Amino acid sequence: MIPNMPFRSSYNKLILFIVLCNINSTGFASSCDSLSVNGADGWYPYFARQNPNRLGIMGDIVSRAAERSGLEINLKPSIPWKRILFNLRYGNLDVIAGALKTQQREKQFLFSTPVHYAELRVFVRKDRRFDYSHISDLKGKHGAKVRGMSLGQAADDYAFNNLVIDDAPSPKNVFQMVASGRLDYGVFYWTTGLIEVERNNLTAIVEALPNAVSKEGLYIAYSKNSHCQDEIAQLNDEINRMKNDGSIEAIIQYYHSAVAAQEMEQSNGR
Amino acid sequence: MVVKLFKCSLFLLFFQLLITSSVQADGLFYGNSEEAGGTSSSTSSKRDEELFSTPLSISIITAKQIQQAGVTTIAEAMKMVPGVIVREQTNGQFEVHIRGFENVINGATLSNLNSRKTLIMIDNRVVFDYFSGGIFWDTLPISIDDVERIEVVRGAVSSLYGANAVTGVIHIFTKRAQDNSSIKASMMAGTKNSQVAQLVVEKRFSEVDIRFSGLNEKRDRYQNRYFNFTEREYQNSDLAEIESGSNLHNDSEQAVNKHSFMLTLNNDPLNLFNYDLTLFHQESDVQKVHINSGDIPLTDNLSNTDGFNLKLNYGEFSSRFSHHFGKQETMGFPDFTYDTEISQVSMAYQIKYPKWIIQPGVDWYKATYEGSFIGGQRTLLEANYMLRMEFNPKRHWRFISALSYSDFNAPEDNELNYQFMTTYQLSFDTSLRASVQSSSTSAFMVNQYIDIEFTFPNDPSQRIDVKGDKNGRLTRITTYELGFRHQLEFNNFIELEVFQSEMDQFTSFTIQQPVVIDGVTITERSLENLPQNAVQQGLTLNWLYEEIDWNINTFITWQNTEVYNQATSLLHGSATEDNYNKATPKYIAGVNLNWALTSQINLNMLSNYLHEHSFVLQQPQGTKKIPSALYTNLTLNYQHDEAMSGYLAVKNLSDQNESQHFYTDRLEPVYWLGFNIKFGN
Repeated sequence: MIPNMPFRSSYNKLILFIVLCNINSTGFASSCDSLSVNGADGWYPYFARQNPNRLGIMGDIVSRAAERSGLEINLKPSIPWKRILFNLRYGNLDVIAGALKTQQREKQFLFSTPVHYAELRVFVRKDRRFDYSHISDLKGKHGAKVRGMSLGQAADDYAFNNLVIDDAPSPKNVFQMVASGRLDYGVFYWTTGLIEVERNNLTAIVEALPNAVSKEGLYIAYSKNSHCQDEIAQLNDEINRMKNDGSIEAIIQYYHSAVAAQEMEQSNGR
Repeated sequence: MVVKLFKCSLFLLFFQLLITSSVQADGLFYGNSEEAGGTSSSTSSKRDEELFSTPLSISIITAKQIQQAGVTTIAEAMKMVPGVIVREQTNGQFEVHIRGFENVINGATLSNLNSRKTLIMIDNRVVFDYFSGGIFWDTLPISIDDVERIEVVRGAVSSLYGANAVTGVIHIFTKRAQDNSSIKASMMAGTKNSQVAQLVVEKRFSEVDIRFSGLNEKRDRYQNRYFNFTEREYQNSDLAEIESGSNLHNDSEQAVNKHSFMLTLNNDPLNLFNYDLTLFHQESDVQKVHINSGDIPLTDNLSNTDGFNLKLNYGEFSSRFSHHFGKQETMGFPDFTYDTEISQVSMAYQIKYPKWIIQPGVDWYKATYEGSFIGGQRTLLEANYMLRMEFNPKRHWRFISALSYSDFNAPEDNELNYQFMTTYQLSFDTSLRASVQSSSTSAFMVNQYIDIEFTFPNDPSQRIDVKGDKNGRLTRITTYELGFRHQLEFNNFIELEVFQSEMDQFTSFTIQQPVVIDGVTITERSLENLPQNAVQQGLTLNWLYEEIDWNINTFITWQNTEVYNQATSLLHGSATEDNYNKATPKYIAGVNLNWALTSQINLNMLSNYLHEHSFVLQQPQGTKKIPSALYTNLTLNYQHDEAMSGYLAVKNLSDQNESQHFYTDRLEPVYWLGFNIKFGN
């Protein structure tokens, strides 16, 4: 009998625990029953979770591709975006339905080819609309965008040297300041912006100008540490097939017409 | 064997941390679907900006953190802030210093240990006290439940907020109505007869949001004994009272008895024209270290305050008007009972060009005090003419200068406060900053105008005459700082600040040789310039790591303060020497660990460590050595549903149940039980 056994035993357990924590989860082969999927909240029409059959453009692309290749998906509950990235990095999540691609992210995640584009538009008060065809038309005006949001490399460079664009903490702040006349314009994603304008009851006051400031590619992101690598490859192949056979375009058209119908309904209501 | 195992486990733990930390950082600040990167701060640049990019050392405490940690007072919340020293004098009565610089004047009186060089504001209204400079936490007309967030800037920021922001600013932002209509009641009860009750009513009328909050707070002291400076021991309160010859307390057991209310009316702050009006009232009776009795450390202080704070903003123009008035009374010291009336007006404008932001502004303060210690009514006037400019030569590089010219009615010399700073965002996850900042205090009633002849009630043959000097100079600090922020991961943030501060232009009441007139020994104390200057070097490391269910924030500050040309005593004409200042702890550290056990239950541990330090005061108060101590609070929160929640907390767990201040109460564990209920939407 060793007198210090309980004490030593607890240290042994601690070491075992730390060692186990350090073993990369990919070191263990485990079966892949389903692909876990998540996406950014508040990003309709790109991602939505209210209706399990309609997950937004990017969500539907993933779910249809999974369905076509006989894969099961497991839609994870709403969590902060930072946590979604965190989970993807460490293999606790397999797929993000809709993400922008950056140099940093490319080092950590796998990406599909771009499956869709999101347009950035200029939002103005209806009684203060101006002609917009090029970013230089914003010169001399006071605008805002959501903090951290990029307008695209070229537009960012031009804006830094020539424009006054504040950083606001949320899209709601941008649209409310435009509506109240504190700003001449706000820049935001077109379709998401229209929905945000509607959500804040500002459709009678704020509108998007016709021409885009820039277009950003949207991608499906995959975990490099997922134990479902074969299934991920299968899903990505199917997405490419959907791109070629027009299925993705059909999903996009569905949501664009849904957004347009909503707009129509609102203008009739007025 | 055990030692080896321990070392081995430490190594593995380090290895684990290394692996976690060395993963490539992510583009947190890119893309619309990101959480728009980080918390907003508005104190360090006088405009809303991301915490990651702020040019100053700043920390933010949110209402959520306050709730998780079961914090019951605003001063207690400062335990969560790096570089801040929090000492509890008695149950619920705290003293807060940013980075220290305490007891720099060796042999001064007890009240000199109070924090006099940190500015405190509520919604931009300065609530600093001009009696002898300092924070009267008990007179703030708000409760912890009113706090939306607290921003703490470490550094000399008088160029932004006027005089007295010498070691930093504590800026409290209060809540505004969020609901169309709701009523919330909070009740907390603890040992030591501690009771805090608050009622909040929110209502929206058309475009106007209205919020009312009322507070009732009572606490008993940890002990009802007082330390007798002459006898050098804790004695029963009746003995201490007899010794002093005055009735110093209404109730020796009671630590805090406070009532306050606050009413706010505002429209949407995003409107082109927006307003925000706050009306407030406060009454309190607390024991704290304030007037120096010479016999015991704690005196009983009664105060009441009424006032308003009005903000009117139009586009880029902002203005603020406030006025508050009230009375301060210290039992046993009728000469130091005084009425106060403080008016403040601020106006600022923001001009923006590509690459440039220019912020001109003017602040005007008028503080009128009336009491026999200053021979009637006296007024301090301060006008600050400010200009802050930001220039971005490159996308990730900016220069900032902020100048403030302070025009006082006393002293006659005016002061120039300044900040010159640069920030550089090395990459999306790393920022660097450097700054030079210089700030001064303002004049204070005691320093500038005191004129009193005090005869000891228990010894009429002894008289002290205290004389201020209208032109007594103002203490100044210059701080050089380098800062580094790095996002190791999107859930792993580290921050380092390295600073050197030089403080000079000290004044104090020096003691003249006693003279005997008609059998009365008269000792004159008059305000004199002191030759000393203090130099502090230090660094603060702050690390925040988040997991899905838990997060940890740990921080440590190391500092070293040397005082040059230190007078050996406050006797007029004393020799000088160079000294190591022992009053600021060499190490100040804290850990805040939060763990969501389930979606309804949350456990929080808040620990604070102050390294050993000591105070040297004049006789008979003498010296006090405070041993190194770690104090821990544990809080278990339960959220039943959106309407009901409760918590259980134990505070001041330590192996050292010593006095944290100068022979004030010895801290004891306090157990708290709280319950919140909300009606409405």
